[in-house]
Amino acid sequence: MSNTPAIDIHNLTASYERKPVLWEIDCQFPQGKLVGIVGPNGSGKTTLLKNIMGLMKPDSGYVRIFGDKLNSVRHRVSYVPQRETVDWDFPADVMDVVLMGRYNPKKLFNRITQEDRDIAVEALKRVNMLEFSRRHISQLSGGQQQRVFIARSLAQQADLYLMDEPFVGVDAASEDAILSLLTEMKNSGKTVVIVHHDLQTAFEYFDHIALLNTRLVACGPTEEVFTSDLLQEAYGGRLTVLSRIGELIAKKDFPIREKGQENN
Amino acid sequence: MGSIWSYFNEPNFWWVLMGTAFLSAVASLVGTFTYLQRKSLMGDAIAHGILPGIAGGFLLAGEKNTLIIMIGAILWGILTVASIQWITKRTKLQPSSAMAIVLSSYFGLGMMLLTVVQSSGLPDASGVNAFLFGQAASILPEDLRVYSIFAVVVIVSLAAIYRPLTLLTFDRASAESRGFRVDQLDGVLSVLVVTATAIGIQSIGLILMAALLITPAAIARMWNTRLIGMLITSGIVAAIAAAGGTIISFSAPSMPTGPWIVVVLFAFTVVSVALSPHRGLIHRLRRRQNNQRIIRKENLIKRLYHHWESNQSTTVDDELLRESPEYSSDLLRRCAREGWLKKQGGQWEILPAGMREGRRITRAHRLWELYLSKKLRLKDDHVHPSAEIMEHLISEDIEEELLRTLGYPESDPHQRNIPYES
Amino acid sequence: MNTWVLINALLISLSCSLAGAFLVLRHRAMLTDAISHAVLPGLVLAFLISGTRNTPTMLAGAFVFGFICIFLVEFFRNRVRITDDASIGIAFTTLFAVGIILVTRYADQVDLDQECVLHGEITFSALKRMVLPGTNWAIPVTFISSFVMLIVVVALIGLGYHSLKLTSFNPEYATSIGVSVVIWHYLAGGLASMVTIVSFEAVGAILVIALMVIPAATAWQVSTRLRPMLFKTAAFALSGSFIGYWIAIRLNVSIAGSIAFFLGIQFAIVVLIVKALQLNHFKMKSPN
Repeated sequence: MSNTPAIDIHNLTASYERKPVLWEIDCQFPQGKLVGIVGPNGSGKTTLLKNIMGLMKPDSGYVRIFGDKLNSVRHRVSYVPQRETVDWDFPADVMDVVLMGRYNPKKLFNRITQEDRDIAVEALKRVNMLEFSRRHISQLSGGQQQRVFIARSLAQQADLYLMDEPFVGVDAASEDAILSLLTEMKNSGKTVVIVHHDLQTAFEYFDHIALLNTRLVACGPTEEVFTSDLLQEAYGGRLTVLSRIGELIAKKDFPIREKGQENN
Repeated sequence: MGSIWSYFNEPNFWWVLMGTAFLSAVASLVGTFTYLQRKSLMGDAIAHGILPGIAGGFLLAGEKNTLIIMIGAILWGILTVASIQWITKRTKLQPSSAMAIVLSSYFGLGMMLLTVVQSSGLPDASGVNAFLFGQAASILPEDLRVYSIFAVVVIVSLAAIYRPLTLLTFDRASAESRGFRVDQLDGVLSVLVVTATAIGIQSIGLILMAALLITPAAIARMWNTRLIGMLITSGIVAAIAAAGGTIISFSAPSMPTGPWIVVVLFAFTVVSVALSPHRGLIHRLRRRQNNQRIIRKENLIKRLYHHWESNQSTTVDDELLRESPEYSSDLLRRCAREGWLKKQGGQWEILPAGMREGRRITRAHRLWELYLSKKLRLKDDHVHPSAEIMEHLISEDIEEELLRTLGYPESDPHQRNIPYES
Repeated sequence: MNTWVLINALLISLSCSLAGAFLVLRHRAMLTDAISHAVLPGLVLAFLISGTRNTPTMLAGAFVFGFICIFLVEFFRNRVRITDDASIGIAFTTLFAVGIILVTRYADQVDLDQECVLHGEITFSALKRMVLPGTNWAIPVTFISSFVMLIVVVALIGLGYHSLKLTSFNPEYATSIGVSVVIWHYLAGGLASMVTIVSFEAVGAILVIALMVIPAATAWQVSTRLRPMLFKTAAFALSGSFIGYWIAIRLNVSIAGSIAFFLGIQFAIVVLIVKALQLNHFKMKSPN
């Protein structure tokens, strides 16, 4: 395994409606670890993930994945969005959803092969959901739905997995199943980055943590980040200077960087 | 031209003009609430859905009896709302699909009934078409009386529930927690939308009624930040548009009124998009240009201050200035007008006001770098790009706060001196 | 003669319902309302400029205005920050108003009137015929255009099936694996615009909405997978159109109106049956 960071974020600032919600994020996530992005509500965790996945365009800075631009390593990255972002009444069963992980946008005719099916079955086995493969997705519990999403992600056979709040609204059994799967993935050399809001469990789950509250408070091995001072800083509220200058930027429609300097 | 404008002398014209203006204004008031609750397309669904009520009312009365048609329209409008709610409650379909289903199938039923009306040989049977696209010129004073009674009922009801409705519109959860019957309020608002739609059917017509519920509110939102101002603006806009449509309808009797009202409304929209404060395009463009001007001007004076820092000299060669990226004679002239610079021969002299400004920007830049380094723990070689822009934005009170947070520091992360006014 | 009218109605209902299914699945059903109104000025202008009523010219005109409508909606929403549904409302009412003004002003030249904008002219659709080369079969021109449209719709859905499904179900995930949500969003919208335009003359502005939304919404009630849902959509479109057509002929009322209404009735019946069955199922399962 090389020393290139799985994810390298450089001076990333991102905003909604012109108002910055992430300030100058600058950090690296190592390969082969379970990485948690942790912080209070509204601290920009999901926004950070969206910027990493290219779902949002940052105002400044850039992201490198395995030292490369996202587009050239896309096949090595898999994204698990929040469960609430989809309509679970969509006419699809469990198998349909997992097979979406085998879809290759570069091929014009995507015929599903037997190999694709085998991979999907294998993925369902790993999340203990094989017996539900023909069940409609609306008839699953929250935890089961999450496991289906993770199975779809596994079917992509990627090296880096980004998951947005996979433990929210999940029963204890599913949580255990997901957690042991994550450990298994890590042991086979995969990198898993997880957006997580629960401080209690974060300490046990992750090897590496990015502590966030609209700015990066700390990023490093869990034991180094989980000090009472740093936690106090992350959960002790926003920095008033940042919120005030953020409001000023939105009000004056001011740029975040001078012209031509957006990548710095 | 004289013959075209002859209707100005008809008393009927003035009645209809004022009447349609009033009715449209009332409809737009109700529309303001649905706009803010993001239920704008509900108005379109209701307006199409009431056609069976109109055609049925006509068949029942056996003639064009405005009162019975109005009652038919309102009852069927309520059925339309109820059907949409039934579908969203009973199925997994979203409101958008439910509205499209109800709108199209009820309008279909209305079209079936219309063909019955037209082949019925009843008097005025062809007059039913006026309800589709509006025909202000066909409105009689008796009709106006009926519509106005309903319009007054709408205004009185709105006034009666104004406060809870406002609360509901801006903060649904808090209205619920404070014990307001939210579902009842929703129901009342729906009935008001139905009634507001029904009073406009003869002037604008039901197909385009949605425009009167949506567009004045959207225009008003561009000019106002408060509800009361929005209500007044949308009422006035709707009244003017309706008056315009009516004049056109009287000048060209074959022309339906509704489309012209919509076209006038669109003209208002275009003007507002261009000119309104905050959101207007011209205003935004100017604001951005202004930002760039400030950035260039302040960068220039900052550069001159840096020149002073390294040479302790308040005079700069014009030649040297020309090398800087933001150099332009216009820019220098502007700085001179600010009292920052003075030209003497081939040299520029930095005046005390310019020194103060250059020092302020340099201080803001270095304070921000220190802030990023200390509070955001950014590496020292990563802090410069952000400071390049924030130096132009940091106001006096933000600077004060930075100073307090950082404890009136002496130097920035690059060990450069942070300059203060002595 | 009547057979051709019916066949034409059935072909149109198949294309509309299949193209509409992907808008219903994306919860964008009211977009059909907007598109069906907004293309009118394009149809009228194309006719005024070219002086003919042939399909390609009308298609071009309507496409231009379909795009103007989409552009206006996006402009109002993103640039002026008017709410989403209000942006749709402003754009389509304005374009439809312009269309109605044009129709009224040039009524004598366009041979379209306000009424046929709403009802369509399906009864006349069988009048103009052409003889198929090499045979002596006289086939209505509208039949041919409806048939070609159906082939295009089925082909596009067949080719883009997976992308359409993926971008409808989970747009964020689709973006993450490199599928362009924007392109497929516009393709789904473009497909809907195309069927609207081709069907507009025959069935009018309102029946198009009914055909695009109601069969798909009905099929969704009884489907757990996408492919069967599309087949059921087609079946419901055919049965609703057939019954509506038959009743319209019997009662001598508007065909477009009748089809729209009976598609709605069919939807209500299916929902009621599904609810009754679920209730039964629930009763049998529960201990008391």
